Amino acid sequence: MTPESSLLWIVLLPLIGATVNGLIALVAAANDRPVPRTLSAVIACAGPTIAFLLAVGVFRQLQGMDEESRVLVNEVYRWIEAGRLQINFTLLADPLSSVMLLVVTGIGGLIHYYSIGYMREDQSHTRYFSYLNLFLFFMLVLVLGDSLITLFVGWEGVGLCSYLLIGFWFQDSEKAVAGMKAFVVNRIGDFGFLLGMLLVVATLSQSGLPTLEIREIAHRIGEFPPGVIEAVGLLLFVGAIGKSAQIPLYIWLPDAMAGPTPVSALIHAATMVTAGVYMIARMGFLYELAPLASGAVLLVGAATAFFAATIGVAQHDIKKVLAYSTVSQLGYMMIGVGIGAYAAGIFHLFTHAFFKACLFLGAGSVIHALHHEQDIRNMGGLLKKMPLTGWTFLVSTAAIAGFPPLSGFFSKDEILWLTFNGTNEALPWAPKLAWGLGTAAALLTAFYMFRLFFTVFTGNPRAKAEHAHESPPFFTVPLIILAAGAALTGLLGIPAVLGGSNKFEHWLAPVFAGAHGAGHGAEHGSAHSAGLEMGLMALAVAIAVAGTLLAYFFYVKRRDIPENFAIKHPALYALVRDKYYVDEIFYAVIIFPLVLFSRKVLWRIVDMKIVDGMVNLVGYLSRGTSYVVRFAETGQVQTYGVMVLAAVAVILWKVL
Amino acid sequence: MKPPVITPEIVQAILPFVILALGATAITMTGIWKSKRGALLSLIVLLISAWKLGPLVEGGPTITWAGAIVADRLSMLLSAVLVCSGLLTVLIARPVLRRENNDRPEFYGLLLFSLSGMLLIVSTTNLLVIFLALELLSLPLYILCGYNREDARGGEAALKYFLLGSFSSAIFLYGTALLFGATGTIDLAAMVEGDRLLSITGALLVLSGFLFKVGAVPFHMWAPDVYDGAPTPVTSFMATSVKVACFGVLLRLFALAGEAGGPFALLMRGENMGNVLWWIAVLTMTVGNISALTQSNIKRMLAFSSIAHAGYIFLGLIPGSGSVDVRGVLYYLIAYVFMTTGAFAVVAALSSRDRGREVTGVERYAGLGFRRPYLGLAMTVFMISLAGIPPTAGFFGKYLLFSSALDRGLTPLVVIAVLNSALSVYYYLRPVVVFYMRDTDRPVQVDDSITLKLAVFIGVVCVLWGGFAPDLGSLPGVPTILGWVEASAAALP
Amino acid sequence: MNPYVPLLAVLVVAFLLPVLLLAISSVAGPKRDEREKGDPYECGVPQPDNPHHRFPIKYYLVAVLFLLFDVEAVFLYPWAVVYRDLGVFGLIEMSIFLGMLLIGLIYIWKRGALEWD
Repeated sequence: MTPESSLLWIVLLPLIGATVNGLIALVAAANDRPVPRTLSAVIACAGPTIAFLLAVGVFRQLQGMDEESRVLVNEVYRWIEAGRLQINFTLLADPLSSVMLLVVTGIGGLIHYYSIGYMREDQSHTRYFSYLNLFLFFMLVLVLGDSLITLFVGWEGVGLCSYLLIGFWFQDSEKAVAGMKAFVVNRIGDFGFLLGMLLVVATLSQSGLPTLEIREIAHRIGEFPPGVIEAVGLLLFVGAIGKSAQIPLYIWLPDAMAGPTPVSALIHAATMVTAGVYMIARMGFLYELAPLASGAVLLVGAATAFFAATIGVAQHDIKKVLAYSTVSQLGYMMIGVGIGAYAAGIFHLFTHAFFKACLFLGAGSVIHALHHEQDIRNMGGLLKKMPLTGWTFLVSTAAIAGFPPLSGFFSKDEILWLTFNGTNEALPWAPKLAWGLGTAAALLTAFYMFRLFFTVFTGNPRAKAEHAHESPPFFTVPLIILAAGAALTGLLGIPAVLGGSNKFEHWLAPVFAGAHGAGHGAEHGSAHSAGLEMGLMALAVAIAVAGTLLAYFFYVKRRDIPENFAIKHPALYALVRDKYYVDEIFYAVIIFPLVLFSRKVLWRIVDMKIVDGMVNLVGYLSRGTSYVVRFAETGQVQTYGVMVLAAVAVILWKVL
Repeated sequence: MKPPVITPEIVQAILPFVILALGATAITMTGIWKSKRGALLSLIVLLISAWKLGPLVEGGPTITWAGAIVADRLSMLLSAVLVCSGLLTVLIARPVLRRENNDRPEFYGLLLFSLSGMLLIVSTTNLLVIFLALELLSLPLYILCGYNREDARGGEAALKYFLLGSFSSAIFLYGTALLFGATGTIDLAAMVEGDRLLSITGALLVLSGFLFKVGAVPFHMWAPDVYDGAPTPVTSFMATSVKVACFGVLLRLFALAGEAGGPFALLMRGENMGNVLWWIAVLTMTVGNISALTQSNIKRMLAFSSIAHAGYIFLGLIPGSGSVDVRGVLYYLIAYVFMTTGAFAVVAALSSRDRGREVTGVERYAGLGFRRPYLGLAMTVFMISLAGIPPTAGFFGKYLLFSSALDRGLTPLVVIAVLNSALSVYYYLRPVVVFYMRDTDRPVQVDDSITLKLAVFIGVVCVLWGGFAPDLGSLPGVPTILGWVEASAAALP
Repeated sequence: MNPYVPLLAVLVVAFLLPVLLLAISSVAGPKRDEREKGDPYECGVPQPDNPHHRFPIKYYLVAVLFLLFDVEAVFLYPWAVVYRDLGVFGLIEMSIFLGMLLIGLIYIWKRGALEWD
């Protein structure tokens, strides 16, 4: 198999798995039989596993090539031809997408295995795996697509799968609503993305053939007027805000925790939500020329990192804490790509995938052991009862808090250092502000993560926690692998100042060769900045230690202090606990007027008059269709005879 | 008009067929005094026929008799396989008929009539003789489907099969007429490419007749109903022998298309026919497998699985960038006969009748693995072979077909076929799981007659022989199945 | 002129004549609808009951056997026409054919298919 065709198979395998499992689920439902669990699990896991092996092959292939020409292209087919605009469905692997490939298939595969254990008792097991495989398919299209439109197909597809999986237990109306919320909020962002894409086409068609191929856009970036570049950058960033849960559209992500926990790990931590960061990095050549848009990315990212961290401090639901932590970490990634340190942003994406997936899966393991208890106030002392889960959780917590030499330390530090050193032409004050917010968020991160760890795993067991047991190997093996990744992947990116060679950044360098941003400037910084860099590093370590000690003090030594604080300052506490009432504000400003409009105008007139008419029409049509279908399924000889005749006729027609 | 000369070689070549036909007549006549020795007599007839056939399989020149009879190694090997299948069917049928108190010599007479038609159909290139043989093999089968008169579903199956079979025969005959009109001859080997429209249409209609008989999608709809309704020995016979005979004819048609030209060459030369066959192969295996997936009745499951196997065999019939894979198809057919007949023998041993209706649900097999270890083991071997897992004939057959298809550049088709056979593992292993993992208090009713055991034993031996020693070559003097198959493939033009 | 043209003419006339006659009677004839006119025509005899009965299988058996031996007779005719040219070979072939039918006849006779009760 050539590396080019293996690109296609990487994408197709999960799709095949999704289709087969979907069919099985349908057939089983139609015959009112239980689904074949083992079979569907095997089918579901086969896709990502083989895809991962192929992805490793692609990676090796790229490694063997010249640094400048590390690109594999597979033109699958010509997709759309509209006037002068021609769009090919093309898959492209370069160093950047190869990293994403490994993350998506590797961590995706692990989470599939984990799901076997987690979803074992669920009735809709096969449907679940079908969705999960479908998600992988779309994510891989997103990562491998070589044009904005292919990327957008994947982008919309993962949104759809996210909706399906958040609302997976749709019998619970709250969960169904959460799925809907995610979908609707994402659509707002996607609208921006779509406008950005149209602007690209419109601009390019003035000076030549329009195209959406990313390499072609990079090639012809000179044809864009500066203002248009800023506009495109901002519009595309709106899409990223939605997908990567930045202020103000982050509100869907915490609610998305209604889905099964492995889904939260895969989609809402490791892969899908990072799509926005990936897209900005991919379009780095454009943001390089758009200081205003980059500044917006930087500031929004910094604000999100800090803001979400403050909310994380006061949450009691184990998954909600992790959700806000994800939002906050996504903010860091945005800071990275906003300052132009694309490699650093992607590096954080990479390490974050490991430790956050591990944290979520660990949380899943705890939730599973406690029979769907998610409130951390009912946990405690689990480290002794679930040692594997506990220790892997600790490793990942330390990684996210930024303890050296774990992965989170290197990637977060890289971003903060490059931000501190970076510049922004449009908003000169922004990098320093972002650095300040980022550093403050780092303190909060260490604090709330260790708060979580201490409350759940140390102290005396509360409520159901007394009877918890370690989870089976389906849970723990992926945990161990991910924890190892969380501990060790940082070593790929040891900065020069510590005597490392930053292999990761070096690997990505050809992709961002056009983008000589802060990343490069800082990398080759002068001697005096080396001392500064060491100093900031020491500060980061100190902050991590401080946050940890604070958490230890409040949640192990003096539990009464936070409780008293909550009692003494009820308003402040409630403000944070209730997430600054952002959801409520959204409701009052946007949703309530909308609902009003919809009740008074849409429902009364549009729905009852126009839509109902259409619905009735559909009813008549489907009755007709079912008549036809019944005709084909009678088991009567006449029908069979007609079918034989029709088959002969069709073949004859095809051949002649 | 001068009648064609009958030489001793020709007599020798058609003797197996004549013995079967005469034997069938004689056995039917014993029905007059309600003889109970039908099985014994038919075994004797079959063995004599096999004895006459033996030297011909081992080799000999190709004999043709005015195109009406073509006796080469291909036809002789297929005849031998068919006679073996007939023997196994008699072994299975006798105890089943005995315990249902329905043992009449007519059953065996009809079986032998049908078998003689199959022997005829694989040894001719004359379209009219093919038609004659097709009717000769089909008509007794229609009756056999409804053999059990208390079973309403059997009657339904018989009527359905009869009506649709006649329909497909008519299509076939229409094609023959068109080919005659286009080329002026009914001998396939002598045909030239006539008028394009007439030739292609005629060839296609002839082909459709056989697609129907082998149960290829979309001509398959009769198969589940008929296979399920017919008595188990008959189902086994239909699922194996008819497929062998009809795929034998298809092989000859396609091989002739590759060599001698004529209407089938014209048909195959167009790119579309390759696509059509591609789709037929894909649909046949996929529909068969997916339908089999949800069956808990083991007989229905085997019925659907036989559709799927027809799909795999089609892999060998698509020329791709090379020519038809005669070797792979022949080997697969042989493997398929033994594993399927063996599985049906086990089903027959475990089935019973409840108010005329046959009961073959999978739950009857619970605990079989411990209570009847040999029977359970045998069924496991058959299931493993059907699923294509080594070291069985089924695996080796798939290997031959798939690897040859890869050589001919049919990679996507092979991928689909491999996925399909992966899917089939699920439903083939389900009975095995029931044997060994589930137990029941209900006593297992097993038919202990010696002939059934013999049939199962022969099946197991052949399936393992084909898997372990498909082409040893290291044992001088020991014939290998593959050796025969290759010699027969070489005999084709 | 093409020799088939007169045949075509006959066909056209044969088709047009009944159409013409039917058209005339339908246009010119008086119409009176009565219940008896809707009944099936049975030689003027009133219909005793509904004709949709189940027939005994024996009718079917007899019909099939009749068909079989009728076809035999059809085959005998062409042989009788050219039997001098075919000579001994033809005689042997026809004897085999008749012998097979004879065996069949013995079988059905002995199995009682020809007995009515």
